[in-house]
Amino acid sequence: MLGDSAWDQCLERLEAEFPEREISTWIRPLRAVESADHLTLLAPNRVVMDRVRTDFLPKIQRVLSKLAGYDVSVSLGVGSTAEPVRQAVQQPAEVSSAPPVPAIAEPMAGHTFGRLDPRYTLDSFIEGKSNSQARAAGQQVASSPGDVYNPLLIYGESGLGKTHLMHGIGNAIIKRSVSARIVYVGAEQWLNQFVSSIRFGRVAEFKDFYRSADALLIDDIHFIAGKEQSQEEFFHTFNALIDGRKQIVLTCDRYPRELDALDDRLKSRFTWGLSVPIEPPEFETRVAILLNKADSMGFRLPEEVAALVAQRIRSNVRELEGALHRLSASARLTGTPVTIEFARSCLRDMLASYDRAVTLDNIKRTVASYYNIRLTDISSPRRTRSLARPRQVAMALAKELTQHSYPEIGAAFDKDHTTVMHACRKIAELREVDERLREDFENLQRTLTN
Amino acid sequence: MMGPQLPLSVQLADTASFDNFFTGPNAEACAAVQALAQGQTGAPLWLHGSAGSGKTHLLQAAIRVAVRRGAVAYLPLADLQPVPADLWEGLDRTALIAFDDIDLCCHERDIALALLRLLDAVRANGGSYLLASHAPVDRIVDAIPADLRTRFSACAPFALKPLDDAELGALLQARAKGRGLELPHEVAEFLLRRLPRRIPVLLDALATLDSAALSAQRRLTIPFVTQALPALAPTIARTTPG
Repeated sequence: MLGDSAWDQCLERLEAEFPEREISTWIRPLRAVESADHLTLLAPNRVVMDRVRTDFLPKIQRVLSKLAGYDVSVSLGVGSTAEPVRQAVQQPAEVSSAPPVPAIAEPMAGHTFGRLDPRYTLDSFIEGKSNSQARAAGQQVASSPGDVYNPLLIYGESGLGKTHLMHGIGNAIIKRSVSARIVYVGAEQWLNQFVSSIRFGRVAEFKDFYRSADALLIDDIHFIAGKEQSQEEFFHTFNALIDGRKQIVLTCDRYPRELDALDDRLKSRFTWGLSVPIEPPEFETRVAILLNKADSMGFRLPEEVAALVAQRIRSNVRELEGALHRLSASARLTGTPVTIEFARSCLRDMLASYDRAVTLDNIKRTVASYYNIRLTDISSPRRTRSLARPRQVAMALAKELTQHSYPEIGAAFDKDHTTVMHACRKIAELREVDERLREDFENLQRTLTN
Repeated sequence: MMGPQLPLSVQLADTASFDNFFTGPNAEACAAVQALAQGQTGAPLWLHGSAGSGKTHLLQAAIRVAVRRGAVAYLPLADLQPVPADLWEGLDRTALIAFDDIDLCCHERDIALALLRLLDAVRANGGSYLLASHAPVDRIVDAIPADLRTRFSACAPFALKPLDDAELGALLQARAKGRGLELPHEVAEFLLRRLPRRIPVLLDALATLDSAALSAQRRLTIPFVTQALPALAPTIARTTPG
C-alpha cells in the first residue's frame, strides 16, 4: 500500500533531478490523490496535464514504484477535488460531471455566487462627491432589486470603483435573500460562453441560464460593442430579464451612447433605467479610502500620511491601494513607525514616477492645447482674459501637481512668485463658484495625472 | 590506479528557497514575498528588476512554501509563448499564483482580459498573486488594457536591486557551501573578474565546478577552475602576458 507521503517523497526525488523551473511550473501545481496501489495526479488544466504526461509521467511512475517496491499505477486528470477526471476522458463534454455542458456550464456555475468578492460591500465603498450618486443608486437597487433603476448602469474609467460597487450590490442582494440567483460575469466571458454555446449546440441552455437569474451583473459591457450576433442575443436576454422584473446591473468605461460600435437598440436599452457616473475621487475621498482600507487591513495609518499619499497619487483607487500595500508591507517587515519621512522613503520610486510624468513643461503644453492657445501665450506678458485665465489655471495646476516652489513656478512662466500666489488663490475661489472652470481644472488634472 | 569518479546522476539540487536566497540589498522584498507565500498577508506584490536580480528565485521559493496552504501555479511566461488560451483554466481557486515576465501576456487582448478576470477571481476566492517584470508598472511601454494596468497598480511594488561584486562573491560562496563545496574568497573573486556578472551564468559555472570537483576529487583552486571551466580559457589566454 502507498504511504501517505508517497507523493511528497516522489517530489523530493524529482526536485533533485529536474530544474526548479520545471518543477515549479509543471509538478508543484499537481494535487495527489493516493489510494491503495494507485496514485491520481490532478492538474489544474489540460496544458499542465499534457506536459506532465509527455515529460514526467514515466519518471514519476518509476520513482513511485521504486519507493513502494512494486509497480504503482499513476493516472492523470484535470481537476482540484477528490473526484478526478481520468486521463482517458477526452471529450470536452465529460470534463466536468455535474453540469451537462462543461464548455458552457462549468464557467457559468463558477460565476454565480462564488466570484462575488466578499471584501467588496456597499459598506466598504467610500462615498464622496465623485461617486455619491452611484452609491445611492446601488443601495436602492440592492434593497429592492428589479423595482427601481433597471438597468443600473455605472460608468467611468478603470480603477474608480465600478466593480466594487457592482459586487457590493450583488453581496447586498444575497444578504437580503440567500436564495437569490446572482450571476456575475465579465462581458467578454459572457460573449465567449455564447460563442461556445453555439459551437456545442447548447444555445437553449445558455439562454435558460442567463434568463433565469434574479440579478444579472455584467462587468465592462463595452467589450460586447461591435459583436453583432452577441449584441442581438444580449438584447433578447436583456428584454427577458427586464420583462420579468429581474435586476440588471452593468458597468461600462464610458457613457454607453459614446460607444460607437454598440447597437443603437442596446444604447437605448442601457440608458432606460439609470446611468450614473463614477468620477476620480477628490482629495478628501482619497484620504477616506486610504484610511478605510488601512483599517480593514488592520494597519494603523496616520492621517497625515494618508493625506501625503492622497495628495500625490490622484489617478485611481487601485494606485492608492498599491501605495497602501507597499507602506503596510514595509512597516510590518521593518517594524518602523509610519511617519511622513518613512512614507516618503518607502514610496520614493512611486512618487518619483508621478513627478516625472507631471513636469512644468508638460503642464504648460497640456493647458495650452486644452484652451487652444499657443504655448508662447502661456508665458507671455499679455493679460487678456482669454490668456490670463489659462495661465492662472496652469500655475495652479503646477502648484498642486508638482513639488516646485512659488518662485520656481514663477520662473517657468516668466512671472514673479506673487503672481503665482495670486493665480492659485484666484483659481481656488473660482473652482468653488464657476462650474465650467471647475470642470476644466479637473479634466486637466486627470489628463496630467493619468 | 582508479579512474575519475563519475558524478551521480542524482545531485544535490540547487533549488530555489528563501533559505538560499542571498538577500543583500533585497531583504525587504524577500520578506514581503515570504509573508505573502505564508499567507500572513493577501495583498498582491509586483517585483521588478533586471535579469538575474532574483525575481525568478523569489517566485519559485514562494510557490514552494505556498503549496503547503493549497493549490499553486508558477507561470514563466517567457517559456510559455505563445500563451495557450486555456493556460489560466482551473487556476481561480489557487492559494498563490506567481507570474514571471507578466508583461509578456498583455499583448493579446483576449489573453489579457482572461488574465484580468483570473486575477479578480483569485482574490475573490481568498488567494493572491505575485507578479514579476523587468520594469515597474508605469514603465511598461506595451499596450496593456487599462483595466489590467490598474489591477497591476494595486500590487505593492518592490524593486529588486542588482548585487554588487562583494555581494556576488558572497552569494557564490554561500551557494558553494550549500553544495558542500568550499569556494575560497580569491577563487570567487577570480570567477567574478572573468565571468559575466549575471547570477544565472555564475550559478551555472558553479554547478559545472561542483560536478568537475566531484569527478576529479579536487578542491576549488584557481588552477582547477581555470581548467574546469573552458569558458575561462580564452579569457586567460588573452589576458596572460607572453
